[in-house]
Amino acid sequence: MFKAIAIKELREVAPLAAAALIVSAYCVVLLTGLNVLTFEPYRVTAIPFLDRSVFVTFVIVLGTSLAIALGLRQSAWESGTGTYLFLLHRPASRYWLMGAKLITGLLVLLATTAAPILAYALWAATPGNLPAPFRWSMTGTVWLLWFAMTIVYLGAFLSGLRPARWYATRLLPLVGIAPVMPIIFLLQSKWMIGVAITILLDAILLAAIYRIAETREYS
Amino acid sequence: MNDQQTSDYAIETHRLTKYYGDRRVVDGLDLKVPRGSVYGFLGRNGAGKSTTIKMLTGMVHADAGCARLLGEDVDALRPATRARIAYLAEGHPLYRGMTIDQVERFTRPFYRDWNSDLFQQILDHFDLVRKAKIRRLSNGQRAQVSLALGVAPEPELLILDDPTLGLDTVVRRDFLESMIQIIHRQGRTILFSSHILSDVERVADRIGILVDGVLRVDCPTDHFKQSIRKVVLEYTGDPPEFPTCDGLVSSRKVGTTRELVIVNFGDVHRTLIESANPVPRSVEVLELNLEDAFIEYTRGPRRSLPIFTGHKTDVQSHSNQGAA
Repeated sequence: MFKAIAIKELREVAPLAAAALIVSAYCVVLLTGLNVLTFEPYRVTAIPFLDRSVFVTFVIVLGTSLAIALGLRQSAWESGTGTYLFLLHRPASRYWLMGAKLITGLLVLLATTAAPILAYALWAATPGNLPAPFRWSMTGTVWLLWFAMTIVYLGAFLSGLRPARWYATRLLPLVGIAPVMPIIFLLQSKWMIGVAITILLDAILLAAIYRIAETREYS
Repeated sequence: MNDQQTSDYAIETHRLTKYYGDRRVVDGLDLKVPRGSVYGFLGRNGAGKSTTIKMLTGMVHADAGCARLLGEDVDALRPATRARIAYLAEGHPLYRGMTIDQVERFTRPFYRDWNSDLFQQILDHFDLVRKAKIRRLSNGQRAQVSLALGVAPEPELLILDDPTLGLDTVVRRDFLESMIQIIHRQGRTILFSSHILSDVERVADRIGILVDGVLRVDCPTDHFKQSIRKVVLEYTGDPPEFPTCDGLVSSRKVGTTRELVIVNFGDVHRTLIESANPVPRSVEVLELNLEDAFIEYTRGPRRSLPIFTGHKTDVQSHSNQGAA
């Protein structure tokens, strides 16, 4: 049953993940010293994974956009097309059905956003590519942000699942978690606190998702 | 558990009530659908049919009362019991990006008793190709796929919310006949809502009519048709008012005639007609088909409609029933 849900969800979110991977590939290739438009190599002077580097900004923008798109696609889309009525009548508990959706969405998000980080880090770790030393610990901030994307995803999922009369009120969970990413970014030196905040907020959002999935009306 | 084995009803509701805001859309519904019956659930638009069906399937929560499907409370319906119930939602929502084959492969793992041969037979019956994308199917074909998906797990109970909505006359008839042929052959119970009376008349052996959220009729289809009569009283001049009495649904003046719609027209009504002043020049008692009976019945003064529960003695005027 999980496989059936996972395949369905993957089929539905594949275009979003594919678009994110294409943009990531473009960005990583560009940052590793190849001008994608002219195919001319150029000298890389930026130091990867620095706090305000282009790549960190890129990960934040890409990850946040993908997390919002995935969360809304998996929740609001089913409301809009009325397919919750089909899905939720399958003989499985609502907790299980929603859980399968969430696990698939989270795995897609984490895998898709991890790909450019790993690719860029591997390039940076390869001797001769950078005119500066590279240590894997330099990627700590970006991995923390990567993990914190789960908050945005769950916030978007909750926004799509919550019944609301207006778009503004529907998006309240997303608005509520908006300050979290800057806070976690600022907590990079105390990464354990950042991880703890992420886990705590994820747990709160998951509880809210399960509660709303169980109590909301599908009409 | 004992209830599950002994109950004669596939669906039972007790005082089921639902509010949307201040509006009571379903009002103290006591519905009993006997096992093995085809139950037509009727009502005008906005009468509360879809809301009731969504409450039965757990998609909408009741504000009061309770409902049981196959002997189990709908609020605590176990997956194993849900597997014995098929639900075809209004508009047949399916994943449009999938092909018929993909929808089947998605649905099949949820059911232990999935009958792939039956699914294929139904597709063949409707000339549906597995590779066809759901989004490219017509409304009628989507309804057919829905029916195949609903029937393949061999359910004991099928709940269909206006399954023929949006289908043209030919497709509708074909769909309904196939539905009965396919579904009803093993004594399954079917509850289907509709506002197309000719459809219901053709397939339902029992009907329930919901008027403003109140179940006003719950009886065999033939009984309802036979119980309602249109009585046309022809006068020479202006027709007089007709006195209020048990069973009177409506009284309308049309030129020099007065048209009455009466439930269980009998001696009491004849006496009233004969004792009227002036006495009518002629009295004509007309039988109605289900559609006419439904129209005449539901356009009467709604809060004081006589209530049918299957027996002549049960027909009574309940002027307070369901009043908000």
